[in-house]
Amino acid sequence: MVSRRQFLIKGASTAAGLAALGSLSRAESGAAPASPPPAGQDDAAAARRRTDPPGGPGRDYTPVITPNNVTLPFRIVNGVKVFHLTAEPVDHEFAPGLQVQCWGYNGRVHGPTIEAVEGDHVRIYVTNRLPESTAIHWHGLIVPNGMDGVGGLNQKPIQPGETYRYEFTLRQHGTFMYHSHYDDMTQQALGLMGMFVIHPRQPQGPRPDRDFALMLSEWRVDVGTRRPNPIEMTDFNLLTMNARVFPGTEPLVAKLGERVRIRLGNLSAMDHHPIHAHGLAWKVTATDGGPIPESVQIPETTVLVGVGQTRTVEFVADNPGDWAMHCHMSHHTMNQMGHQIPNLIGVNPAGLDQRVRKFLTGYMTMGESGMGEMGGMGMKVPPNSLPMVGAPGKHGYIDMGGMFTIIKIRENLSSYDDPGWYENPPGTLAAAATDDELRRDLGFVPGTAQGSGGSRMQNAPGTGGDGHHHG
Amino acid sequence: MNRLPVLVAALLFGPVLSAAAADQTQDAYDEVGAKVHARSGQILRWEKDQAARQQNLDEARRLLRQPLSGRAAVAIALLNNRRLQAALEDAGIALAEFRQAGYLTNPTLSVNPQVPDHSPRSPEWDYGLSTSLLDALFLPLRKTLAAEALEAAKLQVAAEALRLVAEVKSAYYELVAGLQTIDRLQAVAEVFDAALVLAQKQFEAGNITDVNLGLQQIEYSQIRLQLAELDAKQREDHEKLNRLMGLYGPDTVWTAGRTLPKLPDKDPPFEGLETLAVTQRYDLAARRRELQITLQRFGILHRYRFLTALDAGAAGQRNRDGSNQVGPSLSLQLPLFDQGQARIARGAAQLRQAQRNFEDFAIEVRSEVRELRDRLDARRRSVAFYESDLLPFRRRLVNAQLLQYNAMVLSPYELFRTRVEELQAERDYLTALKEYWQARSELERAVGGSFNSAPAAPGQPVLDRK
Repeated sequence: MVSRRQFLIKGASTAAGLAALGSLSRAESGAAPASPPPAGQDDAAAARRRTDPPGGPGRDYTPVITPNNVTLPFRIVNGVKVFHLTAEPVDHEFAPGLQVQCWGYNGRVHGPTIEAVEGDHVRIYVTNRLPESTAIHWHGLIVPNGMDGVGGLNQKPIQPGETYRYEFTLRQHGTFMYHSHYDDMTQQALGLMGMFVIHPRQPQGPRPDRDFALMLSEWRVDVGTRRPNPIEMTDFNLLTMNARVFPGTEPLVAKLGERVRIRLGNLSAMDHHPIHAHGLAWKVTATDGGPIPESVQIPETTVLVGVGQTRTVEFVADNPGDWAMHCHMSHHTMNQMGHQIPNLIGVNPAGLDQRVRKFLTGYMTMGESGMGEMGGMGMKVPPNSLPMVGAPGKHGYIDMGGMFTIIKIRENLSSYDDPGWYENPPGTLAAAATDDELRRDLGFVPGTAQGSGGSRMQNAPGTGGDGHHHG
Repeated sequence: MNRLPVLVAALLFGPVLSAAAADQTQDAYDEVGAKVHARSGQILRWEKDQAARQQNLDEARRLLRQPLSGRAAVAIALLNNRRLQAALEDAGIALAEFRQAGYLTNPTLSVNPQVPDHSPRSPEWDYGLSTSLLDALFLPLRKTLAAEALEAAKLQVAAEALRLVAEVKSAYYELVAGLQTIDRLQAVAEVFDAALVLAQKQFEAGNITDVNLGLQQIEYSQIRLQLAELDAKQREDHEKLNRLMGLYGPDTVWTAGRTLPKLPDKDPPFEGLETLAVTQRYDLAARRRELQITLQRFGILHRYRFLTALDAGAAGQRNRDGSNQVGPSLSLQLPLFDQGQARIARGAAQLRQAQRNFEDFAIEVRSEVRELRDRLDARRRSVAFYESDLLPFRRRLVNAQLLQYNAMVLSPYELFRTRVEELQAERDYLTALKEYWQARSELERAVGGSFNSAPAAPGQPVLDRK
């Protein structure tokens, strides 16, 4: 026999018990145990909230993967998901060779991904160990006004040393973000942001096998320094995915045939990013406002993520290989490039280097035939910097950096660890054409790069290339 | 008359005395040379004849065959500077004055035949012989004063020679510093030349505008202009040294050594410098002697104010009848109206004046020593700062900039500019080093020509301390 007191405290698992408590206002597909209202709240408030039992990973959702980062752990206290974020200075590595003093959460830059389920009641404690006040705004979330996190407007800023409590019920699902909203310019420029993923209580559509979250951001870290410059407004030189630059970005690994979801959030200070993927076309399935109905999901290979926006894309990984995924703004895929250097393309450096070495030992003219392989040249550069750096790949040096990562799709995978480089099936690798092939197909063998004669194909009769008129 | 034997003796022993006098002449010039050598360690040889002149010239030409060092420049100037040789003759003149002071005034013989205007026309003869007794009385005093004056003259010439030494050193440092500066500026020109070549290549490739190319051309041209100006100054400095060394004709073509000496380990200590100056400066010693002369002259003036003229002798007459009358003569100026009060007052005022002037000079000497010592200290600190801080810092900056250039965040033009700034700093350092050495040679002159209180042994260099 359960006493009334026990009944009230422990709750009932029957519909009758639910009705007695009167706390639910929407139908559920499965019987879910009701939880008692948190201590200290009155019944009217309890009636307003939709308290659901906290969702669990694996059981209620495919846990999101945050490459180069982690998911924020939580504990359940009386049915409430409790998180703890500590804002603090963090010594952060953008890629091996570049260590920078940033501001992050819980010893990480950016902050760990907060993951929850629609309907969860969350309580987030925020401890401030920064040298100035802070606050956290839950970007895209509909929360009580006093929880919205704009310093001065919605709450008193959290002073250094203080711990504040944010508490609200999650009423949406989708891809959201959280970031500092006090002295935003400085604090965001130093890294205080993170992803906030809310899974639907009632998922619709196909379930993704792989679910990734990528936060896009931009920084100015002058070569040879180790602190971002938050004053920079236009000339950023480090573009990051989850606060990492290539070659420091972890690849996104999936098995052939799996459904992949990628959540992209952009909290860059000033730049939108057109994120382009090779070897696939995805559909944009959600924005920071919510899911996009299937009939109007736009197919793209390049999704433009504006500042403050999130875009969720989904695709089926049906094309095996190592596929580049990157911001298509070409300067966003270079590491710490300077923009004040003179244009030396096409300059013949003959004789100049010897002249200069008379008064500057070790000088070498660079850039007269482009900037490829600058990173691989091994020139002495200032310590703690990655200027023009890329990484060696299977077929040579990959001269990319910045906002660049690789989607690795494999037919056979024993684990989701980095599977190494893709082995090209025979006949599918671009390689130097043999002379026989050239003579057979073009009729001649093209000369060297400076060109001795073009292909007759270029000026074939009928194309008008050699001035013939026809028709 | 007592002076007669003296006169006879003078006539008899004249040739012997003149030989002795010749030795005395050489000694006077030699003493000047010795004084100069004692401080500078260099030779000043009197050009008494063509042979001596040739000897000096040959020595100078021998030194000119090597790249000119500071020591050689000073040596040549001492051997060859015409004005110095002219000043050296002041010693000869003072010596002559000294000898003059030792001569008694010649007695005067007067013979006066008088023919009557009526017969018999046989003449009467008046004759006499007189000499100044005062002269004889004052002879020892005169000699003493003249001896002092001779010493003073020798000292003044020696001082003049040491001033020339300092001037030559200063001019030499100016020349060498100028050569090194041209060197640095040529290095700067090399950098701007490279920048221009790069700009030209960029222009040919179509990467920059003609305006940008023009700007580089202007920068390069300006450096070329500066180089031309430095070249002209260097030729002026060369000529100045030619003048100081008294060279002309083919002798004016010589090359200088190309580096300023390094900063010596330490400077002469501040204590004792003033004392050194007042004890060993030749011009101060000369002035002291001149003051002594003035004092003695005043003493004589005061003691013998009543005695202005005193002549003695003999006079006689030969009569028409052939008989003679002869007797002694004495003439004496009586101090009736003028007892020398005015002369004494003037003398006293002149003595006081000489004393004040001497004190003023002594004060200046001391002050000059302090001022130059301070200047030397400041210049040393400047040079040391360049060596310890500024130049190493600029070098490190160039190296750091090279790394930034390698990282492609810095333009090669900026890199070149940093190197140019380093070269400019080296130029400034050279100026500071030159000014140090010039201050040092000035101080050396101000303390009397040498920092050592003991005279240098012959042949031991006192000038360049490396």
